[in-house]
Amino acid sequence: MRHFIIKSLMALIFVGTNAAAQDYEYNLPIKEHIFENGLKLLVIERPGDNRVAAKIWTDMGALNEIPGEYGAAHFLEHLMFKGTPTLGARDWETEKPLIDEINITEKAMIAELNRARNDIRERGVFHDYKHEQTTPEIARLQKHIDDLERKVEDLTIEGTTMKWYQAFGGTRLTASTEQEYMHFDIDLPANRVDIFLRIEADRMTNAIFRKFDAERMILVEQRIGFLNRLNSRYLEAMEALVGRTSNVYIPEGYMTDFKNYTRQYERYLYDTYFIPNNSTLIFVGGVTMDEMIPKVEKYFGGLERKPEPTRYYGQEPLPSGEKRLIYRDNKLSPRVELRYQIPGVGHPDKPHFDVIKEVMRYRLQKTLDDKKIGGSVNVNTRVVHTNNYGLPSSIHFAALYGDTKKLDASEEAMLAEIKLLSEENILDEELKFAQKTLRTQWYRAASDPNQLNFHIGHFEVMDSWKTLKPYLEARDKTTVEDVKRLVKQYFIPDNRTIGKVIPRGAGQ
Amino acid sequence: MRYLLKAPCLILSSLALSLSAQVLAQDLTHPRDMKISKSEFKRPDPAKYQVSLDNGLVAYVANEDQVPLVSLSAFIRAGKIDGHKEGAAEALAEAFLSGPKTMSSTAFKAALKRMTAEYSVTLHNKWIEINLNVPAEDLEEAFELFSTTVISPNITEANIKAAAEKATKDIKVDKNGVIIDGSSSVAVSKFHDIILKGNILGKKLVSSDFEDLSTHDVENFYTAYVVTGNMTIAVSGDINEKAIRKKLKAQFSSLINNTPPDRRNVPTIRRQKNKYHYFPADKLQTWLVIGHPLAPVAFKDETAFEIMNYILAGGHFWTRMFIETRDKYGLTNDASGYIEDQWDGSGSYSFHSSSRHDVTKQLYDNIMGVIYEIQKELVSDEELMIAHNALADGVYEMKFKDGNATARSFAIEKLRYGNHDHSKSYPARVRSVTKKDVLRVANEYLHPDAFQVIIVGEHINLQ
Repeated sequence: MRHFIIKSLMALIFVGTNAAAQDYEYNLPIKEHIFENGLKLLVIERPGDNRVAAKIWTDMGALNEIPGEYGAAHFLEHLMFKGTPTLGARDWETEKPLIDEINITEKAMIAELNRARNDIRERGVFHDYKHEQTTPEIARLQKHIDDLERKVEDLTIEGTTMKWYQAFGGTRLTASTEQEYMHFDIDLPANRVDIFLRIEADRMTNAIFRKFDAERMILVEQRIGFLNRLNSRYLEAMEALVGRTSNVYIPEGYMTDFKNYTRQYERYLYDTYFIPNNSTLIFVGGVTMDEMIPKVEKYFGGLERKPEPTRYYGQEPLPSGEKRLIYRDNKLSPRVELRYQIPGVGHPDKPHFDVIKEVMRYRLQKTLDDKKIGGSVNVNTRVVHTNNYGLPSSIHFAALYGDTKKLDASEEAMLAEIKLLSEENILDEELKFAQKTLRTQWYRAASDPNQLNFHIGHFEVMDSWKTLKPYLEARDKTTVEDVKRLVKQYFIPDNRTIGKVIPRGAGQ
Repeated sequence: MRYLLKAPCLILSSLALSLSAQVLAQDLTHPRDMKISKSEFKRPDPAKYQVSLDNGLVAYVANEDQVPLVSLSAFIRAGKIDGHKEGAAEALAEAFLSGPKTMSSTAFKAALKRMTAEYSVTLHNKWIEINLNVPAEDLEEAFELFSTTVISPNITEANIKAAAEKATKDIKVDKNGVIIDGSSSVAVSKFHDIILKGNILGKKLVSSDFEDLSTHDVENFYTAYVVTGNMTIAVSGDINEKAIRKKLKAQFSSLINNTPPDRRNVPTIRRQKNKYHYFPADKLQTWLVIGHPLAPVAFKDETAFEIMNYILAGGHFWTRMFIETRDKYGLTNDASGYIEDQWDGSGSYSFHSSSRHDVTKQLYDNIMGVIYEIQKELVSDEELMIAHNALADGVYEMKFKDGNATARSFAIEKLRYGNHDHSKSYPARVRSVTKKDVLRVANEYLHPDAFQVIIVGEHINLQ
């Protein structure tokens, strides 16, 4: 670990953190530079690495969506692959008026929809509640948009953003949108990082939403791909029951949302959040901060700081009662699951819940096995796609079975074990093992520049990259008393949601 | 919808402004005109990593100390097709999973858990890989466990039983013959069943194979194949290289240097006449696999074939197939080509996709369209340039991106080819591929008239 220690000392001087608190195991020699326009640059220098993992993070995601438009942030990510005036256009001079006309036509269509909405509303129940049917004028305007889109298609070169990355040895090209963030990723030869800056500065500023309706269907494909998994609907039902206000508990769009997306709303999200003072560039690999500052300045320096976007400010109300879900399905394994709301990253209790998760994984399995109840225990904090949030989310204890015979006994045993943990200390060796497990998990992630970049960026949008290391260290400092205290405080009946999966009975 | 009412004003007033004002402020030189340096990558010298024991065993040792972890891997040229007794390879893989003879399986699992280890054994058609990853603080114990497992695996009746359970699993169908949990892997499995019927590569094990199998048979399989000239080792991570070299000699010198048995003769997989195969499944999507057996690709054609596949359907965002199915028409989330592992013989070449039921036919047509096109016309200069660079500067470099990847890549290469000429010459071979080469291999190795079309989901009329 010799060179890592040296590097970390440099970083400590740079960011001015407390050297006394250092533990060599979590050396994260992150260097930070903030440009005049608010763009943040984070670099972990790995001299000798031939490649660099590069990502651009934007502090926006599903949290910023409104009901009826769930998944719009994810859709925006897709649209941002459709090029710019300088990437993907065969003839921008010809294309631009067509794009403008599409936008104007859509605006007229929305106005017509709003005007006619009360007339066309049909008060059905759930999915057949229709308030977005059509009128002859809407149909005419939609046809006009379709015609214009076809003309744009002839002027478009597909896949342009991607191909230039690949032309310069880029791999792992992808993007991701979750509740709190969107990021675009590439792994490149380190001396070719300019191509990333060129493409991403352009994508952040000049995106053209081509192929809007075709791309909408990709989200439909992704959604039905997700729904094909046997447990998807059950998980969504549980998530919806656990939380009340936050989009943390809502999937990336229901089928009824996809048709609602408009260029106007996507443009609003894009213009509001894709600004330098809401973005962070992160590089891990064979580049240095000194060389990156002028390069970033060259491509992003001309972008203006914009008004600070409104951050999500919704708050989960205090839990006020135990909830139960009975989910009937003949294909899904019977199971019993307990969920409790827990705080998000940034709250001092959150690191300790990582430890509790690992402790409980083995403890519950042992308890159920010892009591001859058995089952396959799963403990996790995954909500929608994500394990960690800067907002309150939940911790889950599930036991899966081949049939329903042991479900009641399993629930009783798990609840009893949780009660026991609020009264008695866990063993020191259990704690140490959980902490070692977490350390090893972290090392596995940090060994890959791409994953390390992800964790830094994720913390930056959830809280701050500066709290990543203290977070990791806090897990090592969790005590048996912390575990008892938090179990007692959080794992209470009023904060509990219990789910059971059972087969459908006859006639159901 | 309150945002919708605000948004148009915001958009229409700012869109034109932002596009014109900011375009001027930015450096928007087109990528093709940018002065981008050549990649400075040079493949590491395998000799610097290689350790050769007196008994002929070759290992690769690489220091990679970004994090305190160590990886230990063994690669053995023995797979599902090897041996005289069916199921022996499967049972040996189970034995490797259950640890060394000197300890019980339960104790082995407890040791792995204590170390917070990741441990896996993967049985391929023609080789086995064993991978163990542990914190550096556990290296001593892990090395001991790893080496004793490789040298002396715990071959038991229980392993044979476990192997039988795994190998004889069938795809579940309901009383009407409808697949209960349709998926891409079900479609691929059906494809394999069809193209490999009667071939050793597609052998289907049944319970009686394992009833006839004894621990003695598995031990014989082990003794025959796990010999020094038939395997390689990779050790990488936060290690002292000198100490590891010493350990390798101390632990693995007892391995015997015998010649492994000749591999079973794997007949070339015969191409069949184009046929449609339908399997109903109760899901929201239909899965589509289109493909055929792949004749051994000649060494001279290897990189041309890779480039052809890269342009056609190479599993990334910018392929003809991806653009013509997803980007332009929103028919699918993915449509990609898969070249099945060959390792000295036939394999398969297939295209996998999925779609909502009502557009499966259009998806099929568009996939076939790009396949026919690449057989008819030369690819463009730009496509060829991008494929050259993507493979030589991207995919290739990633195989040596750090010490862990390098040790693994060299160990597998040595096992497969016997030397490191293949990786040494790869970039030059990629860059020498011409447009005519691509067209030639597209016609030599792609045979739409032999495509087996597998549909799992809803029936479509392909006429």
